[in-house]
Amino acid sequence: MNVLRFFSRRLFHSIFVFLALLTFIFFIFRLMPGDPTALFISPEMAADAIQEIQKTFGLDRPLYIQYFLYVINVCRGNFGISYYFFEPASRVVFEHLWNTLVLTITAMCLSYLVGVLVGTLLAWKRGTLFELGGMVSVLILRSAPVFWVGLIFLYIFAFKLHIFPGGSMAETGEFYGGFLEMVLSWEFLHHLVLPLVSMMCYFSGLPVLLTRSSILEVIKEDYVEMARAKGIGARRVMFRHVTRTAILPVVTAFATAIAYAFEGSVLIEVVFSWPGIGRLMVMSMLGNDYPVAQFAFMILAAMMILMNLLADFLYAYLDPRVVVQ
Amino acid sequence: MEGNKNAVIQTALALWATLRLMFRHPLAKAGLAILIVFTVMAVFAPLIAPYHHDEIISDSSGRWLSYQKPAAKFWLGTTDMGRGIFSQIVYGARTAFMIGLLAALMVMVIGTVVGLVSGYFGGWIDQIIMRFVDFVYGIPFLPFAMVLVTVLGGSRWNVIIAISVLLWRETCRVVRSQVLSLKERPFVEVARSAGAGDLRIIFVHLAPNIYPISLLYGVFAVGWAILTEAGLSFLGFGDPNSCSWGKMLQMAYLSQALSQGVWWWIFPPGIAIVLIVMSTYFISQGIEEVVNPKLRNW
Repeated sequence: MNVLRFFSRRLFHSIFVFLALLTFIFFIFRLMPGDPTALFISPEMAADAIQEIQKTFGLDRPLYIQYFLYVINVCRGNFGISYYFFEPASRVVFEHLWNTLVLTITAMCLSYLVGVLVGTLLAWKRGTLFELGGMVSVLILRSAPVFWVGLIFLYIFAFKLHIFPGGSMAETGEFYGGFLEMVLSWEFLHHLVLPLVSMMCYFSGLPVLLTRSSILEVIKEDYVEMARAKGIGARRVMFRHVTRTAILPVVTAFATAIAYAFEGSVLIEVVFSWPGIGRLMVMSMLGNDYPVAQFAFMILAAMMILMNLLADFLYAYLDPRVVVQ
Repeated sequence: MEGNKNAVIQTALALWATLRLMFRHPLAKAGLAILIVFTVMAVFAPLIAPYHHDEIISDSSGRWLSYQKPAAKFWLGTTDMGRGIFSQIVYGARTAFMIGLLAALMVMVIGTVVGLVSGYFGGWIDQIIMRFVDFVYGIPFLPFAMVLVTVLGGSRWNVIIAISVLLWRETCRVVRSQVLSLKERPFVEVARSAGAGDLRIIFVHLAPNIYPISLLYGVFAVGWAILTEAGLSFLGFGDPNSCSWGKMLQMAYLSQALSQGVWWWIFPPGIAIVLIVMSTYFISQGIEEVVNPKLRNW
């Protein structure tokens, strides 16, 4: 019963947060400078032609009516027409969303895999020069702006050594038949490597630090000493007994980290011309294409809320004491 | 009078002890050293930099000295427009300091005050504040900063506002959870029975216990703010008139420095950012020793 109440309360909070965000997004995007219709309207046009265009986009009505229509449209799944692509904003955004998901989710999974392993290793070798070196390099990687790491990789591997392509998801002029065909193609993976590794450099830092400190906590527990006393080897105790318990905080951090990865991918997508949702948002912000920018922002926010909710659930599942409070 | 004087001396001694404890950590010492170098750079920028960051350097015949490699004359070389990269790095330290320190100060003040109030009063005040914090947690940080800078206009002040208006959320949550346990301690009960009001308990009795942890998050905020400013400038949402390391990278990227092999334009700004952000992490290690005495094993 308690569990059910906990889950429904968290779900209710998340829905409330999302609704508040919808309102917030509407108003902040109306405050944007620059006339969104500037793309089609030139000063030489006749006044009634200008009005006609403004009417098409609903820009002639008062703000509260626009807000009311916005809420109705959002409920219907209608997020406006892109001023630039002349397509529904939702279609434009969802086309780009997959590319972001492939990049970020792969990057996060690999980051956490590598992070946990390195973190375990650092905890194991605690007090040695190896640990100090490892910690300092993690701190350096976490201090480096993710886009700068991308630039360095581009410079070395694309422009100096010519091993990897200098951006985008495919060779110019080439298109993939479908999503599955794209993901499975050799060329796609070739394009994926550099943005993936740049993201991993930053995002594997947190799991390394978390795993290490969590293991150092667990290692003091009696049951670990017991296992050692029973004559179980150090390696086995480390990976079978310690890491299993110590990994819990890392698992919950993973869900939250995915939420942050979406926004971190904005910079990487721009550096590598990766046609994802973050780059789409930057381009549509700079190009005054507000319906697309607005919907891309909404999707990013929805992902964050969803992932935070998931992290809460995961945490409650892994550590039931949370529910009781 | 005598008591007040004693209290001031006591506080100063306590602060001194905290700082000494903090900088006993070898990493914190290294962080402080890096920070001092950048502080000197930022404060004396016009004296240290051989050129102004916008100055186009030309030779005697008036030709721009573009793409000069690092040498004795130009320590870090020049850009496509013949601007000195070393000078830009030196002036960029000013922007980094201004953004980092002011944003962190705002984050610390907002986060600490809101967290203290929320945790101390509890009940519906806490409920409302925490729902608002939930809402702020739902906003994607960098995209929001892009939107806000577009709305307010790309000046350094607006970049600072865009960063701090979201970043206080972490400080607030941490401070609140600390207050929740602190307010059950006997000294709060004693203060209340001695007639202290809510505000006095919050700011005189509870706050001093919170300072180390809010300082810790403030130091993290310095690094975050500098990284975010760099990202915003790189994407083209920064202050067009100021010289920042992120903007240097943007200019380098846009003028094809990568494909032309102008490595001396790409490495220095990034290394400067890494060093200054790293120094904040190092110093935070020292603060953590103060906050969490269990760690003191050096």
